[in-house]
Amino acid sequence: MKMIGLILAGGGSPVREMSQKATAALPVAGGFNAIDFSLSCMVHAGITSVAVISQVNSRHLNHHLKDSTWWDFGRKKGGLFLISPVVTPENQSWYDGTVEALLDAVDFMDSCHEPYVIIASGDGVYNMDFDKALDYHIEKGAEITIITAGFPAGRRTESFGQVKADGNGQVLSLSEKISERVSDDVSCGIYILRRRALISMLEEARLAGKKDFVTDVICPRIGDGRVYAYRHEGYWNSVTAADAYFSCNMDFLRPEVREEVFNGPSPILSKVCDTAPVKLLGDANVQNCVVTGGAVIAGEVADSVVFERVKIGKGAVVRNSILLPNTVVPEGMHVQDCIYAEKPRY
Amino acid sequence: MKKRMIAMLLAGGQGSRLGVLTAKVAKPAVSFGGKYRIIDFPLSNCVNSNVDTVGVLTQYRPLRLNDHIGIGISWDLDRPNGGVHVLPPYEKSSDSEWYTGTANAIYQNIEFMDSYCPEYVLILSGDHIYKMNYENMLENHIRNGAKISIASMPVPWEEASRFGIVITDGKGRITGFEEKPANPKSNLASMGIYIFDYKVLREALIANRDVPACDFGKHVIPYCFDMNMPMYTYEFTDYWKDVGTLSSYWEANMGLLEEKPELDLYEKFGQIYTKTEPLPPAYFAPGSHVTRSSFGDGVVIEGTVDHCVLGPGVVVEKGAVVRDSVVMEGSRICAGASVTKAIIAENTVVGAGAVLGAGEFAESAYDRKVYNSDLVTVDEKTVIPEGVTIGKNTAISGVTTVSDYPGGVLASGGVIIKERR
Repeated sequence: MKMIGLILAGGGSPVREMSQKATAALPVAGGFNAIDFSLSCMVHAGITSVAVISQVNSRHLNHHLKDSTWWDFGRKKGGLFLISPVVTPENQSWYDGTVEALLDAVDFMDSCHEPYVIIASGDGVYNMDFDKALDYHIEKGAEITIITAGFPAGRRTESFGQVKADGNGQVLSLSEKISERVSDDVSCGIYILRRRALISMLEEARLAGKKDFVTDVICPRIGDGRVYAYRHEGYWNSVTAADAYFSCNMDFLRPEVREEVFNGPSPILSKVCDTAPVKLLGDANVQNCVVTGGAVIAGEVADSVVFERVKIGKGAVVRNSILLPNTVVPEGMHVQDCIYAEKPRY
Repeated sequence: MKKRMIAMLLAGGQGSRLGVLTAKVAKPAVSFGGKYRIIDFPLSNCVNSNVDTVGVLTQYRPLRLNDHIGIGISWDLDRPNGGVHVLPPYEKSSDSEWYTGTANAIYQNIEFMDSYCPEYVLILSGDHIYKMNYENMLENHIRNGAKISIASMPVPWEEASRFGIVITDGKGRITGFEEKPANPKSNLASMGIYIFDYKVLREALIANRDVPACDFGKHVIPYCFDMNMPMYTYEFTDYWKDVGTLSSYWEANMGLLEEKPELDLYEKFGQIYTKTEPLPPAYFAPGSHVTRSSFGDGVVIEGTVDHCVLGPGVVVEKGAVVRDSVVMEGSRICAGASVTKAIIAENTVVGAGAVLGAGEFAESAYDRKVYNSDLVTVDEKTVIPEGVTIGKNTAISGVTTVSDYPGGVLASGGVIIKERR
């Protein structure tokens, strides 16, 4: 028990027509919510105290996390802590940047005794061994370790922080959300620091009126030579934009992605939703599809991701699409290149 | 802690007519419908009926059952007061014995029942597939002023002689019993589900404690009947299946594959809960051909599957053809294998090109009571080597090699059971 976890899960849905859920609560890869990946990696690394900092439309996220049993939280020691903006006489607004959001977790961090903190975001899709990243952090004597991954195919540079590091892993530059491609490595938005050091960095930033954790807290320290990059050699994507949401789900049609993420260091844990088995009826024709529990298919489906409890009627044809949970494709309907959703609800 | 009604679930039986399927696990722990186990049905019924205290009486091979039930999380039965309790036989300062009969098993747990001071005790068995609201049965019990209620269902008259039959006065009051009668007077079959006023049950169990192999149907119910206790039936007309034989087990599984099955596992009403492993979703590969089948999470299908119930994590490789079969969790059907009318238990490997269910039916050379259909029955953790041919009405258990199959064949009616170390 060397680390505690913080998960930044404040972002709202990248596709508002599709869902009003927080990004971290979006369904990914059949049966999972985006936050399950970060959460499961933390559980696997033996982390027993995790705070999830949410903001926009956290209702679905809270609902997903309320039975923390499935991630083996809810123990006498540690547990899952949900932090969201609170209205007080002094503060009437939402978090004005990630520094303020993280400052809200200082009480939580103060109450822990583990020497290190890992900060992750609730929208990353990956399976990695955080223990190895911590070993690297300690071995390098780093002040901050940024976990990086290869540039996800087909994504725009503006979506990421691009990281340049020297042969020793020392970070030379972190270019946030620029249009020019300057590196093959992007920041996964996962950082390891000493807990005490993080608290003082945040306090310092607050006093100086700084708002953004990456540009105002991490970037100024890069020149000091103690910011390191730990490269995750494997699958990583994030679902922060509509195209990314689509491509990330579609990645799971590739056997090597499923193999790596689902059979990686940590089993990906999620809330158990007691779905019945997947059922294919007499006229079904399903080719190259990921299908989640409770789905009943009578039509033709190809190259698609089908979420839980989806019903696809006879004669319906679905191609290259994502069918979100509980949706119904009526008999004879054709769905192509779609994210097929229910009417979004709050 | 007082509870209005608690349930006692008899889960200690072997279910020997399921052959190799229950060689190592108790019948209630046998998989059903892909992702469930038989005991999930009565346990989920309890939760859905607001019965939050359940004693599960185990005896035969309890390991899988204990592991499955755990502390009851999957059924929401991990409760600070009540919840699920596994009750194996235990040693006493005198008269230590196994559970010798259904009523004897309950008798040995009077202390457990006393601790909840229940008004009513629900007696269940872990052998049947059905959805029932026991609260309705209790309401019926109270409305009738019954001391004992027996759930019963109408069966076809020609089958009535296979069951324990209850005879009623037309208003539900029981006026007589017949055990497997040649000429039945009624077609209401007892389902082995009872509600007792606890005081009555306690008294009857103590009065019959010295009866050898004390059984509800044979001893306790007749005793109460002779004592003139008001005894009523609760008529149940929905889906209820005994899956005690290989062919009834197979048929009940296949029934789930209908477009509108009699037992609907997809509706919200009476949801069935089970222990679920964290598994990825199912994947159907390009070139797979899948119809009329159901699948647990994590399956990978590259071959042909028609009219099958496949459990979680099952793999069907390229060129393999599986028809009319039940394949349980974690089993693999290797490339080019052909499987017809088989029940394949957990974590078994069917080697590449092997053929299961070939030829014509032949009488079992091993046990005609158990093996008397076209089915190929394969035990858990069994290995079937590449390229062998296995006939109908056969059973295989253990890690087998080509040398176990003279000429590469196990003829219809044959059995290979290899002891494990």
